[in-house]
Amino acid sequence: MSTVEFDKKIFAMKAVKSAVKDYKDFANFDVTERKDRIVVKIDNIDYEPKEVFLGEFGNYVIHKMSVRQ
Amino acid sequence: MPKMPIEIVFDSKIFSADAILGACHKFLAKCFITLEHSEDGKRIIASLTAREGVSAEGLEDEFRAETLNYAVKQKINKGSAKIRDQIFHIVFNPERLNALGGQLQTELETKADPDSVKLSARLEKLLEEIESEESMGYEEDPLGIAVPWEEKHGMPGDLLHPVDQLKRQAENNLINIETVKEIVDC
Repeated sequence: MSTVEFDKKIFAMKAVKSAVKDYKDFANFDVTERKDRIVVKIDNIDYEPKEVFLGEFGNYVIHKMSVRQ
Repeated sequence: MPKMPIEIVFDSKIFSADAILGACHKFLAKCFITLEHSEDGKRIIASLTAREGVSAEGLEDEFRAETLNYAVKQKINKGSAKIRDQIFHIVFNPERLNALGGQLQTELETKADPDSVKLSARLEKLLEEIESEESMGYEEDPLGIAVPWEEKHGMPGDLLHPVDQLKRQAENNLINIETVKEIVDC
C-alpha cells in the first residue's frame, strides 16, 4: 500500500476527491483527513512503475487545483 | 536509478500558494511535483522530480521565474479587480452603458477644443454644400460640360476641304501634283 499526502492549506478536498474519481479504474483509493493533511491511501495499483503512477496522481491533483482557480 | 528531487523553498508571505500552483501547472509535463508548508508554516516547499528523459538542469531557475511571473500577475489582477468588475458591470448593463455614453458625449461637447470646433463647423458647411450640389439635376449643366466642342468654339481654323488638303500636300511635294489635278478634274 502507498500513501500520498496533501497539505490542506494548499490543496482542497474537492480537488483530491475529483482526482480520485478520475483515477479509480487504476487503483483502490481511501481518502481521509488528518489534522492539516489530506491522506490518500492507494492500493492495488494497476500500473507499473508504481512511483510514476503516484507522481502522476499528485500532478493530477495540482492540475485539478489549477483548473479550480 | 530514481532521480533526486529538487527542493525549492518560497516565503509564503511573498508567494501565495495559488501563484506557486499556477507555476506548477506549467511544469507538470516536465516533472512530478509535491507541495507542502514547512513545519513553522512560513514557507512553501516545492519538490520537483524530473520525468524520465527530462534534464533537471535549469529546472529550478525556470520554476522560480515562472512562480515570480504568476505572483506578479496575481498582484496586478488583484489591483485591477475593482476596475475590471466595474467595466463588466457597465458593459453588461445596457441602461448604465447608454447613460454613460450620453454623459460622455455631453462632456466632449462642453470640453471641446476650439480648433476642433472650428474644423467640425467647416466640415459641416462643406457637407451641406456638397449635399445642395447633389440635389441639382444633371440636365442643368451649369459648366456646359455636355456642349460639343464645335458648338462652343466653332470649327477649327486649319480644318480644310479634302481638295484643299490634297493641294497643300502637293505643294509640299508629299504627293504628285499631276495626280491631284486628275482627281480635281474628276
